[in-house]
Formats: sequence, C-alpha cells, structure tokens
Amino acid sequence: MVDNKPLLPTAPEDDDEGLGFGEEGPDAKQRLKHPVVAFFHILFRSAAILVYIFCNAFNAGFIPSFVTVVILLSLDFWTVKNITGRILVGLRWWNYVDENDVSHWVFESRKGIRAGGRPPEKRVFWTALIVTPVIWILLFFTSFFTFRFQWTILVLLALALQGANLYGYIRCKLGHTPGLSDAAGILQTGLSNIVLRRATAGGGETPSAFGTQQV
Amino acid sequence: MKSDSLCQIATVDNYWSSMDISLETSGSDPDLSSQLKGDIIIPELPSSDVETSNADYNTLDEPIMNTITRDLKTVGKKIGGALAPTANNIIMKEWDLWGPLIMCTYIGLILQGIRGDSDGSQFTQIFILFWVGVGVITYNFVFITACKISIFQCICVLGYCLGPLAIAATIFESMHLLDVSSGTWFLRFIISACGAAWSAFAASRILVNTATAEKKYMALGPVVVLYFLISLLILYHSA
Repeated sequence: MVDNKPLLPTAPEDDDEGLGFGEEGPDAKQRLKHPVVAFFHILFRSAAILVYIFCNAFNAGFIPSFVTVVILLSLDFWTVKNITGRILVGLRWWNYVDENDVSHWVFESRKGIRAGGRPPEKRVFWTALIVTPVIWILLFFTSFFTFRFQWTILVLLALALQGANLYGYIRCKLGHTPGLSDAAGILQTGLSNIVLRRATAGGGETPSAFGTQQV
Repeated sequence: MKSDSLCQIATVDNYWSSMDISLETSGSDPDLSSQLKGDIIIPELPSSDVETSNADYNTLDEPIMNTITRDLKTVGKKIGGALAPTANNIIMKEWDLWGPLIMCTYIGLILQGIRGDSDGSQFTQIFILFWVGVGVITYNFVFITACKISIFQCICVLGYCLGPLAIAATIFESMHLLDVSSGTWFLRFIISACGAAWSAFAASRILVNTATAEKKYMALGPVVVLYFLISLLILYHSA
C-alpha cells in the first residue's frame, strides 16, 4: 500500500496569491472562494437525507425512494471524492492497479501555503463530511428498531459510501491510518477550540485581522 | 499570457476534445484561468504509452468539466468493452462501480415496468440475486481460488458484463410496449439465452487471465451460473 507519496509535480501554487486586487484585507479570507463547489458538496448529501426522511415519513413506494436515494448517494460519493475534496481542501484519495495486478491505494494532500484549504471552505467541507454520517447513524437506529429492514439496508449502504469518503479524507489529512491517538488528538483540539471561542466571545471582541487563527 | 497559452493549445496535437472544453470553461471563470496556464504546459498527453499515474498527477487541478467528461467517456468505453471483450481489458485496468449500479438498476426498473406491480418485488429480486451472486463469486475469486484480482475489479467486471442482459431486457421492454409479447415465449427464451451466453462469454474472456490453468473452471463456473440465473429471472418477468 502506498500512502504519503512524495509530492505531485508542482501544481501551480494557488492562483489567488496573484489575483488579490479586489480581495485584499481580512475579509477575503472569510469568503468562500468556490461557492458553487461548496454548494454541490452539500447538495447531494442533504438531498439524499431529505428524500429518505420524506419517503419514510409519508410511506412513499419503497422502490422509487430506494433508487432515488441510491442515485443521490452515488452522485454525492463521486462529487465529494473527485471534485470537492481536491478543490476545497486539496486532498485526494484513489486506487490504481499496476501491471502486476497489485492494487494500490493512494492518499494525497496538497502541501505549501494553501495546505488544507481556506478556513471557510475547510469548515464547510469537514462539517458536511462528518455531520451526515452521524445523521445516517441516527437514521439507522430509527429504522432498525422500528423493524423496517428494507430501509435499514439503504441506511447501511449510505453509511458505507459516506463512511468510505470520510475515512479516505481523514487518512489523506493525517498521512497515515487513523488510530485511537488521532481520535484523541482531534477531540482535544476540538474541545480547546470550543473553549477558546467561548472565552473570546464572552469578552465581546470584534473580529480582527487575526480572526483566521481561530480555525 | 492567456493568448499565448491559447496558441499553445492550438498547436498541441491531442485528440481529447475535452482540452477545448476546459479552455472554454476556464475562459468564463477567471479563477481557473491561471491554473489552466500551468496545466497546458504539462501536456495531458493521451498517448497510450504514458502511464496513467502521470496523467493522474495532472488531474489535481483540472477543470471540473474535464473530470466529468473523462469519467463519462471511461464508463462508455467500459460498457463497450463488456460487449466486445478482449483479454487485456480496460475494465480490469481501471475499475469503478458505476457499471454494477447502472446495469442492475436499469434491469430492475425495466422488469418492474413490464410487470407493473406496486410492491416492487421484481426490482428487489433482481437486485438481491445480482448482489448476492456478485458477493459469492467475488469471495470465490479472491479467497477460494486465489486469483490475481482485487475485490473491486471483480465486482466491476461482473457488473459491466451485465450489458448483454440489459440489451435483452430492453428488447423485452420494447416488445411489451409494442404489445407483441403474447405467445412469444420461445422467442424470448432464445433472446435471454443468447444474452446469458454473451454475458458469460464476455466475463470469462476478461477474467480468464486471472486464474491459474487448473482452477480456471472452478473460478469461472459460478460466473456462468449467475448469468444463467439472471437471464431466467429476466425471462420470467418479461411478460
């Protein structure tokens, strides 16, 4: 298995550095650079969840709902894997089979100034990536314990697809297979971020040029 | 600078019209234009001797339309590759799961449409038969006969090789729409048998190199059985 490959031949460093005429100032860092991409990142995931909940609640026919949700999930998987990951946060993961028929998984991350992407896009990307599987887990419990096993299969499929993307991107980000210490580290930084925000918000500070440091 | 790169593109000799498409989109989107400048200089040469890994490095910053058209073309090539199989096949080299999804859903919806029951049992039957079959065969290939194949490659091949059976199902659907399907049981039997034979032949042709000589029949036997069963199910629901 190949991960942490030596870096890609120079993709030109993010174009924004040169295009900053209208965008200088602290404001520029808070705006989404790729709003359409961010929109699509959220669109298919939320559509899949909404269609599922809607069809479940109103007892629409199982087959049309199933097919629709599966199609939405597939579109979401493909979009997140091939487009939003590399554009929003500069991460990518894929698989290839070489001449000896050995399968390799490759996890790549963009290094340099733009590593990880801009703060607003990073927020959008990771929030959507983490929140949706959590919602599907909740839906799993509701469908499983109400004994609607057909729907449970659909939820499991959703979890598989979205979990795969989540795992792939976490692995890209970390550079190695995630373990318990990584989970602990993430929880720790997450909690300290929340505490920090509460502390600064309590002081009533206005956003400053250093605002980006919070993310 | 931009017109220079335009001239460069005009002189780069490549048959991927997607290059032109990407230029148009980048022209309207100033964000990508400077990225595109960098990309064109690293030629995305489609010549067959350039290893795919090279092309993949260039795709990190490619315009989105490029990605979409490239993937659509690959799926199209694979569907064709299943209908006209060769031994060293593109389906094996780059796997993706669109084939199984598209074929299974398409056949399921057609059978559902022909019978027209509201309980959706035809779709469910073909869905379960296909995926359980694929699971069993993949397990057989990867773990029991230890062929040189990965799980996803196997699923990919089996999915795309449903193509001929999808054609058979389409024929049945058109017969149903034209209202000619009464009393044609024997004709439909022939059509579905041909579809199954074609599918099984395609899958065997593509997969034959992965198995050692003595385990060839053990590995490929279940494949033939699966396509035979699927064709029976299609035949059963075809009118």
